[in-house]
Amino acid sequence: MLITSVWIGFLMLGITIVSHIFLVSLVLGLAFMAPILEYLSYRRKDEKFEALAKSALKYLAISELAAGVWATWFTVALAGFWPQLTFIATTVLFYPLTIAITGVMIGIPFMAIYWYTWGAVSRRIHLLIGVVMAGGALLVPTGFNMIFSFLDDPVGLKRALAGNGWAVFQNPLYPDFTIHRISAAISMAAMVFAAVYAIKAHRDHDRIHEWASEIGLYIGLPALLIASITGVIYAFLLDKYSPYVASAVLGPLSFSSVATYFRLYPAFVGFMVIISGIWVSAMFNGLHKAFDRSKEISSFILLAFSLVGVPYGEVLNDLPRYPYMVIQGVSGIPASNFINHWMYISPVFAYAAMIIGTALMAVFSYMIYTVLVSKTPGKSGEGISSGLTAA
Amino acid sequence: MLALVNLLAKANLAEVMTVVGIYVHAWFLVFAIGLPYVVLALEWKAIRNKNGLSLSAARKASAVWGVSFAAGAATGTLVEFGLVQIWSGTLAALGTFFFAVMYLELFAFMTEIVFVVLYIYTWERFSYKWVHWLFGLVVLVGSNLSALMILGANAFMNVPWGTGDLISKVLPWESVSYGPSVVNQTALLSLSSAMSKGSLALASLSLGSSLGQILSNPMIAFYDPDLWVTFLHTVSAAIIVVAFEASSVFGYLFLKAPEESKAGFLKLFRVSFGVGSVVSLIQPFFGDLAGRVEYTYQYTKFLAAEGFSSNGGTNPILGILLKGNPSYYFPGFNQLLSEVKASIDPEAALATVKGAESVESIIFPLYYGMVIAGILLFIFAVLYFASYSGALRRIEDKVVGLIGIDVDTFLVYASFLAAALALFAGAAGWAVREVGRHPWTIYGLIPYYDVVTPAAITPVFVALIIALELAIFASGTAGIIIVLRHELKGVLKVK
Repeated sequence: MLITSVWIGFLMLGITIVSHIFLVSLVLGLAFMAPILEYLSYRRKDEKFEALAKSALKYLAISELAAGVWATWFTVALAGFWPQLTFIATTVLFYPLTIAITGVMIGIPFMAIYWYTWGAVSRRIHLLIGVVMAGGALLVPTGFNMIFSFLDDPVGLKRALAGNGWAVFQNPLYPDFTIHRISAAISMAAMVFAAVYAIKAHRDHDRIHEWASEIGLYIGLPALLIASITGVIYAFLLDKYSPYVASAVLGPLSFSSVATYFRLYPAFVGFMVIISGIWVSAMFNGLHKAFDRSKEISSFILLAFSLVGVPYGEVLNDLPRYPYMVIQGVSGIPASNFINHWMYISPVFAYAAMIIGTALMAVFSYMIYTVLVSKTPGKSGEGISSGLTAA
Repeated sequence: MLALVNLLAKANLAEVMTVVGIYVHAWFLVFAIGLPYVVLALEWKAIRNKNGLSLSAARKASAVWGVSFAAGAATGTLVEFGLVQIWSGTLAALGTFFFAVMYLELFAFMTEIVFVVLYIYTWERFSYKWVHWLFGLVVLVGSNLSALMILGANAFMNVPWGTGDLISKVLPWESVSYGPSVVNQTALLSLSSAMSKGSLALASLSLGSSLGQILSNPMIAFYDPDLWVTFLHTVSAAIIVVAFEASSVFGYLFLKAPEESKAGFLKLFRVSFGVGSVVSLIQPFFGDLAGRVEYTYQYTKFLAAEGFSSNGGTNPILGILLKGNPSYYFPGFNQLLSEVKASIDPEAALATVKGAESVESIIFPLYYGMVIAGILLFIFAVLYFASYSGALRRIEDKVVGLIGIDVDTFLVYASFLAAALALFAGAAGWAVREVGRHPWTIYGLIPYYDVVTPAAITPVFVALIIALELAIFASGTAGIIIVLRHELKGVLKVK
């Protein structure tokens, strides 16, 4: 029964984390893009940028709502299946979590205010609201990424339990991993943006869509470069500070040789193919100016790989720890040590979560299509096309 | 002893930011719960009567809904993390008694979030108008179910249902059973004992496996009698607050509008005031039920709220309502003190009596302030419905005519007061509920200073968090006002 609970608890945590990370990466990227685009509109006195910013904000609003659901789910799964782990995490990682929560508290209300005050306040003030929104969004991964760094290398555990909560910031994985995550998120959102508009440009033969696609690439490619460099560095850091995880993921590429529960090297090769695919298709789209059939195919590849890249990477980041929950060098603390012993949680809860979660994602996808792609009448329901064409 | 003093100091500091955080959350939350009733009533009227002004009002109100929903979600995250991070000892309850309600709340929250987006984005998208209205109805059901689940956790903190006779062993004057015993009392008391030295005990992994199973029925929170009563009472309060707030906005527009537009705004005003009035007439019954649960399961809170002296006494109205005897003598705190020795934990029993006694001067005026506010709202509701009767309206016109206005204008002015009264009643009621439980987080089982985080809580940290909470309150409220002003721009010209 315990093994079942541990696996289900691990699976629940995994599903909620991966779903949440997928959505918050979109959120973070779009929260950056919207004010940048609005600023460009302000500086260049070009309303096309403003229309783009509004489009980004529409994606952002819906992604944030769904991300919020998964965040709550993730917290309840943590507290329900792993109450003592959660207690230790909230105690040891008190300051990083406070930074993240501060970000949530700033980011979400300012997202709504940014949305609803468009045109209702002066442009400078509106831009300032957008900057605060982006700042809030940035604080969230700055805090939460410490959790993942800590699970791979629990630096500062004893000092934090003794009262020095800042000790965890000495984690050597944390700075690189955080920059990697943030740049990957911005890259993902910008590439999705670029791909969607490239596809629309091919179908509608609309120069504005072509131009919107290029803007996405201008933001996405530098971010992808940073994410790639920090990703390589992260692999080396993992090899040094968390060899169990490095061995499970990197296989023969790892300098360590540790026996692991999962051997994910083939999956890692798949991940490299995805990242390479994003690079190639993004470069092709950037260099190939004609919006023809080849560019449409390339755009579909860019869209699919950009959407898959972050959640795929997250699976590779979390799954290798099993059957441990916290890695300590070449082994770790078994997840079974942390499972909830105080109450039996029926697997029905987990299955219901998976079914309803899938249904949610289906409805969410439908909403994305209805609200953003198809032309919806009404002030706040204008589709992307109508917004841009109007500009 | 020194450890307890340190825990108390930290818990008291943490309590301040928690109180502010909960009220900031509640400020936005009432919109999420109450606004669907008003918006759907307006849209219903718009569809039924093909009324463009009602449709416009419903749509504009749903914009406020959007901002308040976002602020509510953000502050909800704050409260959630306040629970698991600042009051991290409650994780023991989250992993047991609260699990089912918190878990099922997610489904309600998901439903709410998906349909609130559909509702806001699909205005006038469907040729069959009721489809959009049904989206809103699903949001209403989702938000109310969400409230039910969250209140399930709070109800357990007040009335720990499923613990059988355990509470009466700790607090001998609570001689009733707290439902069927679905807990391992030995394990629960061991957990409570381990945590009495501070929540850091939960960091010991051996504590998890050595205690074994504490709870055998995860669904027990749903059977808590306090849950259903509190749910009805709280949701009704939220509807009343929002309905009267909306009334005051429509009333303001009515007063400011040119003569040819007044009739339209009066209709809108009457819809929202009507919603508030209907619920204000029912609310006293829910309040009565809440009082009975409090008397039965939290006698110390009952004594403090009703303002009995230390020796107890009689209260004819309470005597009739609760015992059918106007001269029934309610034992006071002194009598309870004499029962402390019979407790399996006399210190805890003593702290309960002293705790309730110490907060009596706070919660007694708040409680009666709430009751008086409720009575005034009840009177406004009666006046509102009487205005629909020809004969009664003529009497009302004559009475309010003495101050030179008609009944409609009087009700408009009353709506300004009603909104303030409803807000006060809601805030005071919740204060009575939470402060009156002092010093318990879970009544009779875990005091608040045992669940506070082992991490350092400094005055600077508390000040920063409170500043952030107030900033969110200010920015969220400013957002609502900006949206409201923007949406209302030009609305006075709508005929």
